[in-house]
Amino acid sequence: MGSLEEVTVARIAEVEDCSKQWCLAWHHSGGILASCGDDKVVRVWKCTAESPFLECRTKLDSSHTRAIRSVCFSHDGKFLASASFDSTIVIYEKGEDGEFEETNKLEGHESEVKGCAFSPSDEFFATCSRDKSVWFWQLDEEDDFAVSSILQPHTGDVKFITWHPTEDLLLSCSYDFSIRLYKFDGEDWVTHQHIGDAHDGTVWSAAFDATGRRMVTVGEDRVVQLWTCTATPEEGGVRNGKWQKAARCTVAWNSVNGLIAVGGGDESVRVFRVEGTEGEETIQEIAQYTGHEGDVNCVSWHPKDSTLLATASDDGSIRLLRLQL
Amino acid sequence: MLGSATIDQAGEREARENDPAALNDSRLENQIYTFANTLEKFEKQLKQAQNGQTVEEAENMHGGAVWWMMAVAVALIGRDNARLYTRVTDRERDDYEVQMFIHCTLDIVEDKLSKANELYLGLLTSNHKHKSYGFVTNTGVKFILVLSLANTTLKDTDMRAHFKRLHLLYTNCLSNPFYELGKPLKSRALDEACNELFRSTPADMSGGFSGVVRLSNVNDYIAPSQACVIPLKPTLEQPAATEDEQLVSTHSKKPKTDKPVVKVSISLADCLACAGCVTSAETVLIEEQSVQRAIEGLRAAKLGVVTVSASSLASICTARGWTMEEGARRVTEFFRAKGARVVLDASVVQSLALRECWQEMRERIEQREKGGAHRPLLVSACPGFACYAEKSHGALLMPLMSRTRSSQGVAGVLVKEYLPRLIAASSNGPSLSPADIYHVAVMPCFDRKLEASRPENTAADGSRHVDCVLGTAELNGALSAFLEGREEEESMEVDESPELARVEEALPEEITGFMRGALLGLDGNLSGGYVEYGIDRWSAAKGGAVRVEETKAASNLDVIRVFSTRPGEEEERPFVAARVYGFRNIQNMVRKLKTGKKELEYDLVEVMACPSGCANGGGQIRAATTQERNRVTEGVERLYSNLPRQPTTVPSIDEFRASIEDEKMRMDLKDVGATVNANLAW
Repeated sequence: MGSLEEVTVARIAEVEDCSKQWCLAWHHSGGILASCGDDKVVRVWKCTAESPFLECRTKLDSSHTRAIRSVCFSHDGKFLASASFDSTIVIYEKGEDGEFEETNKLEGHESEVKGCAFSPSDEFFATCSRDKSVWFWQLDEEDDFAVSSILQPHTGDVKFITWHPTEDLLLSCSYDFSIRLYKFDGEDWVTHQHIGDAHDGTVWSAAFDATGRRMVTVGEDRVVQLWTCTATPEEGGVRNGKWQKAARCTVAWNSVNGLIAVGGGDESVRVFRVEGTEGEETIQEIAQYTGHEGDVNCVSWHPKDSTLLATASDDGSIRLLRLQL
Repeated sequence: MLGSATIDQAGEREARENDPAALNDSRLENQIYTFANTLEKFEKQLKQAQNGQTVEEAENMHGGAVWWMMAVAVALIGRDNARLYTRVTDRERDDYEVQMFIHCTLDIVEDKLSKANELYLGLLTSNHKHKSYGFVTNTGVKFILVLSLANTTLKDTDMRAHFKRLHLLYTNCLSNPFYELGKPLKSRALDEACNELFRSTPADMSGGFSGVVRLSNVNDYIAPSQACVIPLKPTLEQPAATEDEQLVSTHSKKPKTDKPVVKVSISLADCLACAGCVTSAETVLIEEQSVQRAIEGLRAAKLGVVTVSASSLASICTARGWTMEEGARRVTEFFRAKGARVVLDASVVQSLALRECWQEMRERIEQREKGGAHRPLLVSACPGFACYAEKSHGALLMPLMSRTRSSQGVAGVLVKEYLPRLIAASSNGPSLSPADIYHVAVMPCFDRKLEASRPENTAADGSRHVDCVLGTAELNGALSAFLEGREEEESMEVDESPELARVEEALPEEITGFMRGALLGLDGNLSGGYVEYGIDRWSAAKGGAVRVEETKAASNLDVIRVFSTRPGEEEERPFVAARVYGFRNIQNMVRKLKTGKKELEYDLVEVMACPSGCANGGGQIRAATTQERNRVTEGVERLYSNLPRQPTTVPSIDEFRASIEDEKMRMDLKDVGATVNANLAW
C-alpha cells in the first residue's frame, strides 16, 4: 500500500464563493499546467522542481462569460483550448514570447460545452456539449478550424470526450449512461461502437492506457469500469473495483507505471493498479488522499514525472500530490 | 441575468370527483398466471441467450419503432389499492414481470405520497427492464405508467401531459351513471388512449425535423434554456470588466439595480422560432397539421386546394415504383376524393420564386459593380436554415438572406390572395375570402409546418396561406390506406358549381398540369434549382459566352464559377454560385462570414439544412440504412431530372406573373424579411 503526499496546494481564492476549479491539463513538457474553473479564468501555471512548485504565470480572463469547464493543450504544445458554459470554445496560440493569446473562438454549440480535446496527431479537435452533440473540427494549413462533422448520437448531455492515445478514435461519455467510440471514414466521423449501458448512471469520465488497448470509465454508479480492447476496440471489460460515495469523479491513467488515479465526490483521490493477467484483470486500490475540502473535479498525471499527480477541486485549490509506493 | 419573465400559468384545475364515503368491497384482483406462461418466457430468454445477441443487435432487430415503445403498461389503482384498471401492451401481456413491477411500484407511491406537493409524482422506480411514473388524484386514486427502461425520449413535461389526459378520461368514466365506484373500469376511451400510448412515439415523426431544429430538441432534461429569444430588455449583461492582473482575483458584487419587473407574454409562435426552452411545440405542430386535419379542412372548405412538391411526389413514386405521371394522377385522385378541387405543381410555382430571387441577385451584383460591398445572397427557401439563421446569427445572416418566399410561400400567396381575386374577376364568380379556401401543401420537410405558421405567411383575413403542411411520409401513409380501401368511403359531394369549375381553367395550364399527370421539371436538383437558374441568367446576360468551372469543395459543398469569355471581359470577376448543404457546411460558411479572415467569394448561395437537400428531406419516406437511403435519394433525384423541362418562358406563366404585378401583388412574393427585420428590432 502506497500513499499520496501533498507537494503543494495552490488556492485560487480563499474567500470567493465561485472559485471551483473544474479541470486541469499538463503541457507535454510537464513544465506548464493549465487550470480553469467557475471564475471564468484560465490560469497557466509554471511547474518547478523546488518550492513554490506551482507559480501562476498567466491569467486568461477575458475570453469567456461563464464558467470554464475544460482546458486542453494540443500535443505539439502550440495551442491551448478552453471550453466554457457560455457555449463557446476559445483557442489560444503560443506567441513568440511564450505567452498564450486568444486567436480563435469556435462557436456553434447550442448549450454549455463540457469538454474539448485535440487528437493525437493534432489534426482534429473535438468538443462536446449539453446540447447532446459532439463536434469534430479540422485544422487547416492556415491554423484555422473548420467543422468536419457534427454528430448528435447521444440522447443526453455529453459529459466528457477523450482521444485514443495513438489512433484517431474518439470516446464520448454521456448522461444517457452510454459511451460511444467514433472514427473517421474519410469524409465524415461515424460511430464506431456504441456501448449502451456502460454504467448505471451518468458516465463522467474515461481514460485510455498508454498502449490504447485498455480503458477505464467512471460513472455515477461509483464503479470504476475497466474495458479491454481486442485488435479492434470492443467491449470485453471486467466489472470491478467498487468504491464508495463518489457521485462525481474523474480518472487519469498514468502512461508510465500503469496506475489509475480516480478522484470523486467523496473529496478523496484514490490510486488503483490493474493486476492480473489478460482477461482476468482486477483493480486494486493502492493509495488514497483525503485532504480536499470539496469534490475532486479533475486529476491528471504529470506527463514525465510518473509519481506526480495534479488535482483540481471544488474547494478552489490546485494540488500537486506525490505518490509514495 | 436577462431579466425575468412572468408567464401566466393557467391554474391547474383539478377535475372534480365525488369521493365516495364508503367504497364498495374492494377486491385485490388476483391474477393467476399459469406455470406455462412463465415457462414460455424462460424459453424465450433462453433462446435469446443462445443466439448470443448483444443489446445492440437486439436493438437493430427490433427496429426503432418497437424498441422505443412509448409505454408498456397503464394501471389505475384505487385508494384502497384495488386495481381499477390495468392495460398492458400486447407484447408484454402474458408477462408476469410487468404485473409484479406494478405491484412493487405501489409501495413507492405510498412513500412518495407523504412528500408530494403536487399530483404528479415523477419517476417512482426502475428495474433492469422497466421504469414507472406515478400520479395521484386528490381522492387517492393512483395512476401508474410503466415505460421501457431504454425509453429516454419522454420527459417530465410529456409525462405530466399524459397523466393529465388519463386523469380527464378517468373523471369521464366516473360520470358514467352505470359505473359503481371502486369497481374495475371499463371504458373504450380509456382503452384507446392507452393503445395510443403503447404505439410508437411520435419521436419518429419529430425525427423528421432537420438537424438544425432538432439540435435544440425539446427533450432536453433541464427545463429552461439559458436565454429565451424573447426580448427581455435591458439586453445582455455587459462583459465583466477586466480585472487587474493579480494572482488572487477578487470578486466584486455588482450594484443592485431596481428595475421594475416587466411582464412579457410568450406566444407559441415565439417558441416555434426558438425551441430553446422546453415546449412540446413540435408535438403541437404535428397534431395541428396532420392528415386528419387536412382531410377535415378540405371537406369543410368551400374550395380545397393542394400544392404538391416534386420532391414529395418523387419520393412516393420511388417507394411505390410508380412513374411520376402515374403518381401525380393517383395523388390527385386521393385528394379529389378527400374534397380538394385543384392540385397544383409546386415546381411550376417555384419558377416564380426563382425569378424573384434572381432579381434580388441582379440588384446585388449591380451594387457591387458600382463599388458597393460584396454581399452574398443566401437563399432562404429552406425553413431549417432560415430558422437557424434567425435564431443563432440574426444580425450576421439576416441582411444577406433572400427575401423571396419559398415555393410553398409563393403557392400560399397564389392560392389565398390571387385566387379569390381571380374568381371574383370572373363573371358571376362567388366571392371567396381567403378563409373559405383550405390550402394543403405536401412537402419533403416537417420544418415547412413551422414555416406555414409564421405570421408573414398569413392572408389579410388572418387565415394562413397554407393551412396544413403534410410531410411526404404522412401522405404516403394516408395513400396506402386509401388504395387498400381500408377506409370507409364517405362519398364526398364535390360542389359542382360551374363558377368554381372555372377556377381550374382560369389558372395557367402548367400549374394545374399535375392533375393530368403532365409534370414539368426545372433545371437543377430537387432543392429548388436556384444555382442553375442563376448560372443560366448570368450566361444569358453575357450572351452565352461563358466558361463554367464546377468544383466539389467538400461533400455536399459545390462551388460553381462562371467566367465570361466575351472579349475584353475575360479578366472580370466570375459569378460564383454555391450549393451549401448540411449543417457542417453551414457552420463553416457562418464561421467564414463571422471571422472575416477569408472572404466568402460566393455571390449566390443555395443553402439547405439537409445534407442531400430536399430529395432526402426530413419528411420524406425513410429508408432503413444509410446505403439504402443514398440509393433512394439518387432514385428520387433521377425521377425528377427525367421530367420534361419547363420552357424558359411559359407564356401563360409570364402572363400570370404580369397579372400579379398588375395587381400590385409583387411585394407579396417577397415578404419573408418583413417580420424578420421586426424580429431583429427586439
